[in-house]
Amino acid sequence: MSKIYSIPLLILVTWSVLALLGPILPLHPDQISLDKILLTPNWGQWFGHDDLGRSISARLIMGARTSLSVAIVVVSISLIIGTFIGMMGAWLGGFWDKTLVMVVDLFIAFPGILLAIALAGLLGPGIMNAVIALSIVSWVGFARLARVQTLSIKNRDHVCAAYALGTPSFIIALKHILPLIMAPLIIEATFAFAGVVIAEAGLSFLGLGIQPPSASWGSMIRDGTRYMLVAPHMVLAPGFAILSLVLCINLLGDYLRDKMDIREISKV
Amino acid sequence: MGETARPADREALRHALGLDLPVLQQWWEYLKGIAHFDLGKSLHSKQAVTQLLLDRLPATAILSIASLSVAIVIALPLGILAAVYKDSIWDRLAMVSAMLGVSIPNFVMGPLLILIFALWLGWVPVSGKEGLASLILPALTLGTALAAILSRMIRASMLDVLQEDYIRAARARGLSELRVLGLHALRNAALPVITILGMQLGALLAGAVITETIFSWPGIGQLMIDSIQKRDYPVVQACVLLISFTYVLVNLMTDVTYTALDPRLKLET
Repeated sequence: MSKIYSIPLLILVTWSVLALLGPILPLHPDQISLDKILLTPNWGQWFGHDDLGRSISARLIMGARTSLSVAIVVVSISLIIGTFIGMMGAWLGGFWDKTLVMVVDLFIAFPGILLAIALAGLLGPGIMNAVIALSIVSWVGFARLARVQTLSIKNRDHVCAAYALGTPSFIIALKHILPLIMAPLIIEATFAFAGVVIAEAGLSFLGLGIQPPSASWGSMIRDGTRYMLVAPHMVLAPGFAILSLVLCINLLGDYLRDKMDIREISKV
Repeated sequence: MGETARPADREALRHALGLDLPVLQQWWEYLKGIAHFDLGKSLHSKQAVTQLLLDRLPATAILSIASLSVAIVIALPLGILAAVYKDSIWDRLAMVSAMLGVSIPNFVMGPLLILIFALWLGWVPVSGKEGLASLILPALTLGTALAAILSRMIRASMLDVLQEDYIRAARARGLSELRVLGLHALRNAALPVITILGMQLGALLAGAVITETIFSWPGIGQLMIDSIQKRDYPVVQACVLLISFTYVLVNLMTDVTYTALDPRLKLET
């Protein structure tokens, strides 16, 4: 790994460690102190205090926890379900494959995060519903990728040989196909991770994600926009937190893609 | 109607909203309504949803067109420069700005722009829709994000085209560089870019939902978020339907213009 990529990796690891240790550290992210309302950054508190006098650095760490845990859960769910459905469609072919393509097309007709916003709105605000909404939206990408990859590998000699020897389908899928299509799926998962971090913050920004008093970077920005003239740090701190995390994940995704030499996946 | 509503009143409301019908029949009624441009009534304001959408449509259309223009104005020169002077400082600049562009979500970019241009410099209004000046920040927020992706696409597409024989032939004929790039290269490079542009419009429209909320821009997106908060489901449904319909329609149109722009495709099929 070249030196230049150790910086984003370091930042990513730092955020993860902070998020993991969050509950153990002596932080008081929900403690309201009226004498510290909108206090700008100073030596004791590097990132200052918010409109209720809560420490922003403590809330940033809890926000990282929200962000990373939502992203891990959503990406894992959609990776597993999407890959399974995509492989099934390609393997079974015929009617099932056509149905799969139709369902996927149906989902793709809704642009980007719009469907997640609408679903989160219909399900009602809350972090659990945000996770459900985001999972419903993001399995599609994995299913599409897994389907195309499986189709290209399905008729290779080693798969035909295994089939001819009477190997059960699920063992063929697990041992003979999955390892070969894993690389592009992992890259896709990396970019999906960055996407889910942004999407979760976006939902929380709209008030559809995490509910107060729990912290999310998105809801911190939303609270901050009301006090921008007097306390710009309320927006800047979580803003740069999101930027640093997403930028690092995207850079590492690029690195992985170059390393594994995969061209089919376009970034974005 | 509150939690303590009498069962009779509840049933009356269910009947009034058609919720006592079988789901399939409700769906059929909804489809019949759409065919007549009737999307039902807002639960909150009791206005016709179609009218609400029509009131908000111009604002979103203006914002989308402005953002698209911003994106093209930034991405076109940057993408071409990056392709022509590959591995130069321009290429690096395009690469870095593209990476930043995809990594800054618009709910970070928006407040950042407000902070710098509206609060510190005081050049433009913070939010709302009063005249052309208030359009600048939302259009920049949406446009820069799109420009980041677009400039990469233009660069990649231009790099492919610049290796072609007809570019060398045009240069050999002694045409000016501007003519070679603008007339011969760009027209051919535009094809894949237009497809991507159609697909990215979806991201633009979805981004508009958040951007309109940030800047209190009275468009479809703001209507949707307001309606979600008021639990005004018919309006939310109609907003999603309208945005998705626009998206599909635009992609259909790019597919159609594709054959018009590239006669080779017609011959092949």
